[in-house]
Amino acid sequence: MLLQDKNEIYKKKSKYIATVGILTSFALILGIVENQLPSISLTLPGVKLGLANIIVMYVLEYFNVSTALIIVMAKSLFVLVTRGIVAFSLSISGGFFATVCMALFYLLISGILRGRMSSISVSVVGAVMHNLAQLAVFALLMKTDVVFYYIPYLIIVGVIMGFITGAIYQSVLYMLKRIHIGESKI
Amino acid sequence: MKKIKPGDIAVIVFFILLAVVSALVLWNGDNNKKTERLIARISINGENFTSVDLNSINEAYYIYPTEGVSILVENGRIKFAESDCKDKICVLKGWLDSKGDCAICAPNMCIISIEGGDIDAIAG
Repeated sequence: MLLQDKNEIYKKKSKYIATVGILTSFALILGIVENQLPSISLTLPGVKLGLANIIVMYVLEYFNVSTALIIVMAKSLFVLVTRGIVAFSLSISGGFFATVCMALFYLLISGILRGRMSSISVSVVGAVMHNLAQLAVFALLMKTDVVFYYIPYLIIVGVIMGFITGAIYQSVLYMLKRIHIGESKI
Repeated sequence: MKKIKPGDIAVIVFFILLAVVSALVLWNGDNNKKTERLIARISINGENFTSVDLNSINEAYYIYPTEGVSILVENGRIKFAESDCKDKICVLKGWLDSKGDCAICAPNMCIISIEGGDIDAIAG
């Protein structure tokens, strides 16, 4: 291999690592900012915007699934350090399941449904799946089934919050594009 | 790719329908509230801690199922009085007084749920 090619590869690699690092710190910051918004998360369980999902959606749209999962994992580890094991299991289960569902949904809308849906749908799917996965893990942790009464409520909350987050994502996308310019999947 | 597209509306309508259907399935049969005996079950870490017959309480008292949580019991109702958790969702939930009600403190892994029926059946 030529030295120049090798240099190119190293350059690409370090650029990738730096980009992922910046995006991960964005996700962490958005998570912290969201925790500082008291009025919504205080009164009702499950009602939160999921601002960090903006980053995950961006990575899914312009990078790939594995990068998105790395960021989700990093964010969950941060939750483990700051908020304990229960919050960690809820965070990682919700994050992983939502990310995988959103990735599959991206496949769908970049394939047969191309051009018919926007990132609002992706965000809504992610929010609802996040809530449902958390509920399932919560039921397992607490060994109870009473929490399933919350399913309809959590779906509605997921739709509303997912919609808002999706709208925010659309309006900040042009800023995120300054970090990494790539090809959109939808 | 900006703005809402028809497909988005379809996705939202689908989830709202899903919520309505699951509500019809899950919230069915809770209409016979306040007609029978109320048994409050308190559990910690998934283990049954204690069951309280809410109809046979003469004087209000506190239960301390775990460190950081106190539960207040009165005649016919029960609530999380205090908790050391951050969000206080359990305390804000307030009084539980009908069958099917439940309050959960996730950080302390504590659940109060109200069930009807016989206390012996629950204890056994």
